[in-house]
Amino acid sequence: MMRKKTIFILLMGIGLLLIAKNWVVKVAKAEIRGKPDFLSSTVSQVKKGERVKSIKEENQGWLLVEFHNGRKGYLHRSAVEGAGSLSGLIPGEKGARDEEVALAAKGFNEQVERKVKESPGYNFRDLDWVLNRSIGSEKVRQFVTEGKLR
Amino acid sequence: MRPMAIFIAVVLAVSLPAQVNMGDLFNKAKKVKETAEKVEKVADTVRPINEEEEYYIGRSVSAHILDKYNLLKNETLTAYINLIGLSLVINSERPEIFNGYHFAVLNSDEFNAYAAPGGIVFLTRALVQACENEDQLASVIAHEICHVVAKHPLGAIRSNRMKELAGIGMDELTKGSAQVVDLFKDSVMDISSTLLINGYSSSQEQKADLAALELLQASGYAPMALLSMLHKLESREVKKSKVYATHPRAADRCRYIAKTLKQMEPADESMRASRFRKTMTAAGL
Repeated sequence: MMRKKTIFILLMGIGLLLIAKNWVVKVAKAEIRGKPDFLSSTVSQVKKGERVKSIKEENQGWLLVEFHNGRKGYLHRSAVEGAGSLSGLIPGEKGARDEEVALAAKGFNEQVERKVKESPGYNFRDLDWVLNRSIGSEKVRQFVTEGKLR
Repeated sequence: MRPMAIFIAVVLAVSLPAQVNMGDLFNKAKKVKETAEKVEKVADTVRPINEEEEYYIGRSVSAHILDKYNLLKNETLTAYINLIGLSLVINSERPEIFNGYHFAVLNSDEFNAYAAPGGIVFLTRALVQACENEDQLASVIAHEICHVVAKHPLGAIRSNRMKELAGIGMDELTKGSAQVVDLFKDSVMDISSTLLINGYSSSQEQKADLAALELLQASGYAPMALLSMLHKLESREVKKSKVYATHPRAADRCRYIAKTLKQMEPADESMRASRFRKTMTAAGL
């Protein structure tokens, strides 16, 4: 009887640890918003490798997250990947995220691109022109509203 | 050793019979270790491309496309197609991507569009000029976004390249050795060949078409616009455009799109007509 109780308490503990899920930002930067909507105002920004904790999962892939020492806001699920709740104790759950993030960056990266740039057949100058044309959230919001889009 | 490999090794070890002599135990232990190593090796050969790598591959694919075609550096037009693209992206299944989505126009008479990995999308000037309204332009952009969302460009990389990359040691990876650079260049060429010469498979095109219809509807654009654009493509195919010679025929695509459209709500594009005309005039098209 005592043994069953111990197992039950242990399972409950593991369950509680799994509820609040940890995530790592996988994109260069992502905006945290006041509402679960890309057209809502930006509260803050998180960068690649930063950790957030989701408190609640909303519709359409939005997560209510806790970030930067207790601040809260909405982040889209596509900006993060699971960091694992039990630091790699469960098979398939990934732990040691910092090491993995560092390892993942060692493949096809900026350093490799620098060497590719020495070869003919690539026009990175015009690519910079394309990537430097940035459009802010406010302009997108205005465009969507004016065009009666969603 | 990976947690999964350890887990399987432990399960195998626990399942050993209790009554064994030391020799048997040694052999079993050796077998368990070999099995765990095999599990780890198999896991390693499937090396997924992460977001950052996708972005860097996409940069080089785009730089290669920009070496083949002239970029149309038209601020008005580029801002307009970026606004259309971003209005669609926020309703897609992959709104966040490593460095955001970018859209540009190639100064070409060909009727075509390309999506590089990492969300860099190109439309040709002739294709933009063929559009009669914003919704038609959005339909082409939506189709290309859906290729990126489904990671179709990355799928063009031959599987042996990723297996080879998985086998490269940490030192070589850190240094960005010649072997890594060659693998990178080969992967870029695999994708570029698919985009510029061979085209996607019929099934990939169909998936992108059907997802584009959903994306247009979710964003408030008229899904019917995709069908109009494919009719334009069909008429060009009749003239035997070499560009689309290897792509699935537009007529086939029109058939399944028309069928899907019957289940969708129509949308009015007239409220966007004025800004489309103004932008095209300002862009000099």
